Amino acid sequence: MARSETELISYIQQGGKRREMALAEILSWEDIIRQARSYIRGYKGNEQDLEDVLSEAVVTMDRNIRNGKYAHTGSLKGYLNTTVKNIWRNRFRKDQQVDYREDMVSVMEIDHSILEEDTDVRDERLRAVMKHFDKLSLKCQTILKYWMLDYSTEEMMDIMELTSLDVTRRKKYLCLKQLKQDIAAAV
Amino acid sequence: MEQAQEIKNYLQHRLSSEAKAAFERKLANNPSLQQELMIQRSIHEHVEEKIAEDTRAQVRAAIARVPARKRSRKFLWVLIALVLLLLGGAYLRRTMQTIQSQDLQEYAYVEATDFAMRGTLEDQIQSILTAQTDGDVELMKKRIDQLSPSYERKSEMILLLAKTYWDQGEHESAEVQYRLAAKDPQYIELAQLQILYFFAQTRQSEKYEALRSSITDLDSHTFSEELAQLEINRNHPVYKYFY
Repeated sequence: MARSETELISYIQQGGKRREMALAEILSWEDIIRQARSYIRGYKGNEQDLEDVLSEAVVTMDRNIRNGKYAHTGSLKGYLNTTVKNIWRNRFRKDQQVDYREDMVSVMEIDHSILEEDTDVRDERLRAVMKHFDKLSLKCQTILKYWMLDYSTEEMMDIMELTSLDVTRRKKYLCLKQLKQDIAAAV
Repeated sequence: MEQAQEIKNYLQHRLSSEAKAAFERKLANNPSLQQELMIQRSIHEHVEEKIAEDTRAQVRAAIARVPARKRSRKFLWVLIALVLLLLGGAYLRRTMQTIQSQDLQEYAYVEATDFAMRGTLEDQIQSILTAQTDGDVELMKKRIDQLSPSYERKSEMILLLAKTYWDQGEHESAEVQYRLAAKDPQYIELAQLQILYFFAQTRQSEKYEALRSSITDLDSHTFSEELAQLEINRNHPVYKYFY
């Protein structure tokens, strides 16, 4: 049964498996994909551009909802459409050096963080994190990802087939502790 | 872990304004917490990128489920169907033209006008033709019965009567008249040809086959070519639907 957009937003905010369900449902909206394709093709884009742009739009939506930055008052579909247009418009303008028609987009609403240039300092720090994160066991990497996505301890225990809630909590604690120690030693 | 959770909530903008203010006050006086925040922010950013990678894979899969050329394919199928329809129509038209051009009708039926063309103007014949024009088969039959048995074209008149019955949907009466005409040695072959047409077009296959099999020496039959063509027509995959 299709959920309302309010429910979908709430599910993403709650995180864990509910977020998974909500994203799966949003990605089953074929009209969003068709509209994005039609728009991008209209500006000389191809399927790869569609993948890139729609991915960024969905990542932005997901991230903004989870981080409490989603303040759109219209529909979720409208938000996605507008985000796709804005991302593509910016990319099109930068890459193609072609003027775009202002009247094609009526709403400007986008997470500017994805368009910002990374600073050298942040890059360096991120490289250190990347290095040490990738050195962690796959289980540790997964558990930290789930923690960030607000999976409950029970969900983590089930998915990762751990023996108890306490073991799961301790595993999460140790993984984070180890990563922090590795990074602290490197920086 | 509580501190890590608090930092996480701070980074994810989930603290209330009061809790956020309290956290930032604590942060200002705590270098260790600042270090912790810096590290966790980097972890946060990196893990967010990992999450984004997963999401991108999901989006790619979703796009793959909605083919780009769906509409074009539908259009292509419509186009193919249209072309096939046109080709089929052209084939059918050609086939029908071929069949019509075989002049079989000339031999298949006796026409009222045929008598006029031959200059037969006797009163009795004219009254039969008038009755035929009026569709009065009973009067036709009555006038034909009154014709002298020696009248050389009597069987032709009977064939005309049979065709008139057929035209009126009276197939049994038509068959009786056709079979009567077939008894005349002068007209037996023409009558056979017409009866076969009659059976073919009224879908009386068994009767058709029975009569057709009785004509053993086709080569010596006056209408051998017409009969052979009739056979071909009957077996034609398209023509049979038009009987």
